[in-house]
Amino acid sequence: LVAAPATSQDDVFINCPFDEDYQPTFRALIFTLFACSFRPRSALELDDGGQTRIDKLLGLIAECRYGIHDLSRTELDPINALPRFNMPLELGLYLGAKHYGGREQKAKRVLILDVERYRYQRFVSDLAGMDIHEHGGEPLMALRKARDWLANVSRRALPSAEKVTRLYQAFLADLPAIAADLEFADPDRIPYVDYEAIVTAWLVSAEPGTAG
Amino acid sequence: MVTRPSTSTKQNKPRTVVGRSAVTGRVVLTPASKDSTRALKRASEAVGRVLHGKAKP
Repeated sequence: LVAAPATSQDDVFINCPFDEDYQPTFRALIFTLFACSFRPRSALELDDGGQTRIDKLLGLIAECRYGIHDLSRTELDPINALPRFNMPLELGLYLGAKHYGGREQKAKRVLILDVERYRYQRFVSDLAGMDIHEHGGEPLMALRKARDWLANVSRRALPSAEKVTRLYQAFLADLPAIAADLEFADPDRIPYVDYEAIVTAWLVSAEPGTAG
Repeated sequence: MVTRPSTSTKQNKPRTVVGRSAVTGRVVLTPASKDSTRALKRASEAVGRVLHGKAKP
């Protein structure tokens, strides 16, 4: 008999594209989670060569109470003319853990995002009946959807979406100077580990009055 | 960096926080990525310099 894995009520699994076009949305989501006292978990934090990628993902999924899944990338890759299946696969793993897991896993909550609300019916119709949230490809809309969803499912008192948006815009204004101080030539190419560190350091150091 | 008990179920490890944010009124959790401790130290110094007007030219 194997004990069911414990989930952390602070950890949010982020299943999304990691390409350049999606980066503004990804970064807005990371900022939102830290600003709301959650901790993002994603495949980008994994660097253990001793495990297969799927084992790493299964471990991550098991540890997270919450999951944000963005199905934006369903179009064909311009180079290979094939769609990206990783996001639907990881959503399936997450839903499987929630369905078949023990009491802790069944408490998982899931937010599914897409650029259009009903587009999923044309490529993953088995999700019918689930509430899909659209962000229109807008990072600040994704920020709002994530914040409002977390406030709903966690029942915690979180900063408002308007406040998180203002703070994020203030953070973005400071980011080029911070990147330059850290000798990153391009703020858009800051590695994930460093971006997380900058976000958390900024949130702790920013003073009241920032962004109004 | 300080630790405080998790709000999670008792099986969970204590969570680590970077500190409390004056702008959100909430604690900020330590990133989960490996090597985040070193990155956090560097980032904290850089953010401090930028926010306090002492960034490198």
